[in-house]
Amino acid sequence: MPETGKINMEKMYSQMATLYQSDHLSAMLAYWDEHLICRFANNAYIEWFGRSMDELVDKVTLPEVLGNSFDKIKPYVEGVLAGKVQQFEREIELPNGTAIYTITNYYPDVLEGRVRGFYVHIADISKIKKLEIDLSSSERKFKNLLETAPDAIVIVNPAGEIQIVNAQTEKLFGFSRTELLGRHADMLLPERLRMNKNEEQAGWFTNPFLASTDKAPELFGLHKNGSEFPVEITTNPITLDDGPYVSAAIRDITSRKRQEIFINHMAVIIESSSDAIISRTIEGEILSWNKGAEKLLGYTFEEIRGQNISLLFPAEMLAEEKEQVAKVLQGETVEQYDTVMDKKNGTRINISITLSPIRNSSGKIVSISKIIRDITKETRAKAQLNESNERNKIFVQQAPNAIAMFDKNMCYLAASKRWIDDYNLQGKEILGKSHYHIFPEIGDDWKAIHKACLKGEINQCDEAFFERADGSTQWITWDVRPWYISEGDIGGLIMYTADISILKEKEREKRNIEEILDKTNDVARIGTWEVDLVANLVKWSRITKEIHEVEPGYVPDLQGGINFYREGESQEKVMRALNEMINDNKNLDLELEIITAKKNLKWVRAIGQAEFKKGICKRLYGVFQDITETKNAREAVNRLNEELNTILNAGYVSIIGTDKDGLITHFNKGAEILLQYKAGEIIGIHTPALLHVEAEVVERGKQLSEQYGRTIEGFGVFVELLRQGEFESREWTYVRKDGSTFPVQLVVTAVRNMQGEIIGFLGVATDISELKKAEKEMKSLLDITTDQNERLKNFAHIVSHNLRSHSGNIDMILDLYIQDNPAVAVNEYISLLKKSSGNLKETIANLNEVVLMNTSFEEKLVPINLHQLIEAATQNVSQMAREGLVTIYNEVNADVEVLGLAAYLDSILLNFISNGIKYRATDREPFIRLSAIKQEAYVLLKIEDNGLGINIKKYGAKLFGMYKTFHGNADARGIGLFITKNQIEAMGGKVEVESEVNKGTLFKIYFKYEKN
Amino acid sequence: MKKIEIACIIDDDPIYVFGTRKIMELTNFCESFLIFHNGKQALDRLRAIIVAGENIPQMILLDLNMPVMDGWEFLEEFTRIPTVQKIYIYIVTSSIDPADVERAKEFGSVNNYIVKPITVDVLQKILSDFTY
Repeated sequence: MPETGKINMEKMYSQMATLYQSDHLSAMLAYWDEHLICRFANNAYIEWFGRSMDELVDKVTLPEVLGNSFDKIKPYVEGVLAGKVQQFEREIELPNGTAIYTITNYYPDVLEGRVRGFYVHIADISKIKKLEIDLSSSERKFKNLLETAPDAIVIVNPAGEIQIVNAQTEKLFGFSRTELLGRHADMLLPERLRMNKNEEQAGWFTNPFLASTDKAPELFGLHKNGSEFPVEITTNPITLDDGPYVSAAIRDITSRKRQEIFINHMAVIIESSSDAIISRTIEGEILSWNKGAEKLLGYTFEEIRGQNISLLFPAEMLAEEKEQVAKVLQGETVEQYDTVMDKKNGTRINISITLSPIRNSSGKIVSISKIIRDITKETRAKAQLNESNERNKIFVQQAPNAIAMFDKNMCYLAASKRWIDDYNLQGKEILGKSHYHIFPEIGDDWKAIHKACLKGEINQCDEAFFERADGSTQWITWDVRPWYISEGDIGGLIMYTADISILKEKEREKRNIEEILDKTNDVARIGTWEVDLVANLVKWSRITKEIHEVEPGYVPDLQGGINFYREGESQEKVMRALNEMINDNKNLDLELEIITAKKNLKWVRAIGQAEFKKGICKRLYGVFQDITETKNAREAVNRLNEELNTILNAGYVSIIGTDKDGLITHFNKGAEILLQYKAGEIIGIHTPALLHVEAEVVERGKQLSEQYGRTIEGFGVFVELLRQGEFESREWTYVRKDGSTFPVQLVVTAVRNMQGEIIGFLGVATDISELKKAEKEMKSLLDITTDQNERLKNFAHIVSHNLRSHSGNIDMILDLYIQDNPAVAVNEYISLLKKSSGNLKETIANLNEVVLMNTSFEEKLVPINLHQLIEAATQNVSQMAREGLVTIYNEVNADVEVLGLAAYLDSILLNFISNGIKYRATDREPFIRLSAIKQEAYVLLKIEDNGLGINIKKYGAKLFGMYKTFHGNADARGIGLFITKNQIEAMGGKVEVESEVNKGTLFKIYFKYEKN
Repeated sequence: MKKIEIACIIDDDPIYVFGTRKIMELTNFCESFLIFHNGKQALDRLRAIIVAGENIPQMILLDLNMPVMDGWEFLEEFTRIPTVQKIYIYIVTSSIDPADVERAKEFGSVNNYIVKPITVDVLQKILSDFTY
């Protein structure tokens, strides 16, 4: 198992790739990071999920990919994220419908003690199972070979016990397999040829059977019936992983013995032998060459005669050949030594050579015979046996499960790593040792089972509880069965066990989880649903029915279920999704609207997945949840968010949020635009101090410190009033990133939590540059106006003083001149001069009045009785009225008082009344009527006459203008109404006029009303 | 009929002074004149006359707008000088500014506010002040 913490992805991947590509296993590889996002997946993995690389990698999380089935692997995911390697087996179904048996490994990716993710390796062990089948087939082949061998073949272990025998052995010795297996090989020899115990210990095994030749020149086999027969025994040591064995080929040579009798016929027999039999001189010259040799080696006797034997051996084999020959020359027979020879056509063959000396009649060795046997097939069989054993061993050792292989004595032949791990046998030498020796606690019941299995039974158990000698407890599942050396020939036991304690624990957990899930579903109002497409059945859980507001007894069907969805979008969506589930094995997760049986509109979330068998969708299932409230709440929140965002990011309003200590937490778009900083440069880094002119903050701090009698500075300056529960709105100067400044109106509000505690502040600032600019413009305009007004006053002063004094002087001097010289009074020049001087004086007086008028007198207004004032004015013009035969009616109530200035009121009344007299109509009896009524805040004085009237359309706009006359009267100055209007307005009143030519005029004068 | 022995005119306008004096002579208003061209000159001389116990004018026609010391300043200073005999002071000015009229009322010693030009009628009215 890979060591935790040292895995890196490349290494893992290359290891996996090498391992599984060479084995042609379609291992699925993937890497999920700690957030369960897929970062790497090989094609096999991606195909399994039926997704494309783009859809899977860097996109989805494991729970999303797996949907509900994520729960099944969740414990392993949690385990691996806790840094532990996870391994589990399961049967999975591929997108093409085939089911494979897999072993899944999760390896944590640990860097500096932190799990960053994990590697997934899913190996298809279906192939390993196939290997197992292959193995047994190779074993069968081996058995076949064994069975078809012409000799009796006996394989014994170092103890001399027979392990394997073939059919020939049974036939030759008359014993059945079961009678032979496990027994000492000596049973095949006559008593007299057997070794004694001492000899056996001295090394029978190093030279089995042959040792007996010391006792007799010829070997004999002992038949079950007690008869003896001559045999030829060839032994071969075999080293297997579990130790050395000896294989002995025993051939009945009874017939050969008989042939010796017929020595004369030997040549014929040799010639007809299927073996290649040749003879040669001691030096190597070929003397004879039978048909078998011709057939085996390709040379005819004519071709090879007289040639040296070395022609037939590869150069590297010659030395060995010479050695063997040397043995023969010493009188030995070299039985079946294996070597290789070159055929005529150049191909090399494995052969077994038996060398025998040929003596002349005097007993001298004159030549050597060679019996050459083609053992190519045999060699292959042996190799195959070795390979089989090798694979056997590998299979057992590498098996992901706990497997052990025992011989018939319950001694270990092989054990898998898992077996060693599961039974805590690490570091113990177990091979060759008895199972019972290693586990003394194994009871008689088990021994009985083993015994039965050694007789061919199979014992399986799905789960059994064990208590070990060390007190630990385990749940075990097992399978004990015999393994066969050959058909019906049991070689030992294979035990397969699995520690399912974890599985049992998981099962219990699963039940708990299911129970919790059930309850959770109930509480969370999660219902389930299932569509069995085979049986055409639809199942709804109680909650699902409740959500649909149907009776508990309601039996749903697919169409009925679809009909609950709101017509239009929801129904179309769900139908499309169902089709995709059935046809494309897509998962379902939709938020949809349904109309319940009680006609209520609900939002539901339907989640589901499809189950496929052999590429056909059999079943759809999933959960169903009422999300109406969540949905509504979410929509409300979304809407609110939208609105809030719009406000927050609106134009040129800077909104800056801080925590309660002043650290900026929000910096809206407006703030970015106005202040030139990006939110990222500010948030969590600065306080508003960055944006203010320090001197202003210090100054404000001083004010606050004075006000509250303690030092208030820094951020406190902006929020102290809020902490006191007051309102904070002030003009400040903001400093932009580039150092430029601009004035703002900053309103600061406190952000409070549910308990009413201040958790932060919000400063909303508006750029008031424009306002300030306008204010400044206004002020400058005011300054100009004030200045001009001042100059106007100066002008008034000049007019009143200087001009008046000069004109006064002229008038006075003129008067004196006339007084001194009475004769000039009639002089036309003097009289014109006098008149001009008078006009000048009057003009100046009028101008003076106009200028002075603009000063407001409102604060100096006093209550004046209107009736009395009219009486006085009428008195003043009585002479004039009498001359014009004008009747003046004073209809104003005696108690009416207005707010005004007596001098102005006098002037106003005189002006209107004298105007009325001046512009009287001569063809009718003229009158002037004055009346007053209270109207809202005013006293309305109406002055009505039946005089000439004014064309309002034509002159209306100019009526109250300066120097305007309308009637051509000689004494019209054109200034009266202008002054009058100004006087009225100076007292806070207004004047309106209605007039019709040759009918009369009505002046409406509004005076401020004295509330008494 | 002559009630006024000395009339004092304080004004910087020679034409006005000439005219007024002429009218006074014509109307036989007084027996002699004291004429000053600004407040300072008038104040200095009148103070000297009062201190010396010489004949002081019974009435003063005072202009407001004058160089060196204007009418107001003159009034401030002059009203502080104690006199045995009451001196009638008339402000004679071309200013018809109501503010000036109001200010003139603040001085108890000011008898009247006369808007220029001065006429025979006005002088006659002043004379009536001295009729006891």
